[in-house]
Amino acid sequence: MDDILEFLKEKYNGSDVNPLNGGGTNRSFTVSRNGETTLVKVTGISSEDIVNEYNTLQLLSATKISPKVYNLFYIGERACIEMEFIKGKSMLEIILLEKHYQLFIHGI
Amino acid sequence: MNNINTLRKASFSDPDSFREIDYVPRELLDKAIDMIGSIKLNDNDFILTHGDFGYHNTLITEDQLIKLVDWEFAELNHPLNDIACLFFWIHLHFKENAEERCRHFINAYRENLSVSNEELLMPFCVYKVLSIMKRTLKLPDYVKKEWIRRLEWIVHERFAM
Repeated sequence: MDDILEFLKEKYNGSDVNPLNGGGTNRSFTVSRNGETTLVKVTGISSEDIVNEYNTLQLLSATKISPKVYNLFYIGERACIEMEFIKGKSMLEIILLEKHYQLFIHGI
Repeated sequence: MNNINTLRKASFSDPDSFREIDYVPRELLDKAIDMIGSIKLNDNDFILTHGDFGYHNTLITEDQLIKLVDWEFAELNHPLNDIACLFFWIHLHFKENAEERCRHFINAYRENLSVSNEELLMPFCVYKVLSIMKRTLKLPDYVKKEWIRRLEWIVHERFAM
């Protein structure tokens, strides 16, 4: 059983909670309810880093460059933050797609 | 609401704090720490930096807006902290045209902001790598081995700006 997933399903009772792939050393989950989705990031290595992210996002809340942050909570000793879920493509994906496209074009 | 005092500050004023990365060969770690020791800055050089700046943490939304995500390594530091980070990842991932990609970025950057202390680019790259390595202490050996390889590479590399 995945304790973290179970904890989140209980915390967000009535919402659809799903793990996201990727995300490096932390674990991320989407939490969806009534057509609204947020992202929950759970500490993998350092709770200090997650708290640091929470503090930084709060300071940046008036800007449009970063996700909005809603909540900081703990699962045992693991810090977790709930924030805006941003739909989009990373520039890395775009660069790699372009690179493969060029290879495809020149390969023909 | 938090204030700026809650932000982390760069740790190169205490380069010996990197000695906790005990899996790195001594000679290599000494060289890396010496490089970081060359970073001397004034308080007014510090701004909020992302700490893991790069294309992997830059999202283009469906509305074509640019968003930066993953602010866990954010800290008050010199702008070179983010520039060095980007240069490091570009040279690691795109060897074949890294210089051209970096040149595009830095030219665009300079259209808006000047870059001081350019000579510190490589020490900042080393700082970035050691900062990441501090978080690898509990990771498997193959990860540590890869980061030793990257550190070995970066202490001998010279990127053009």
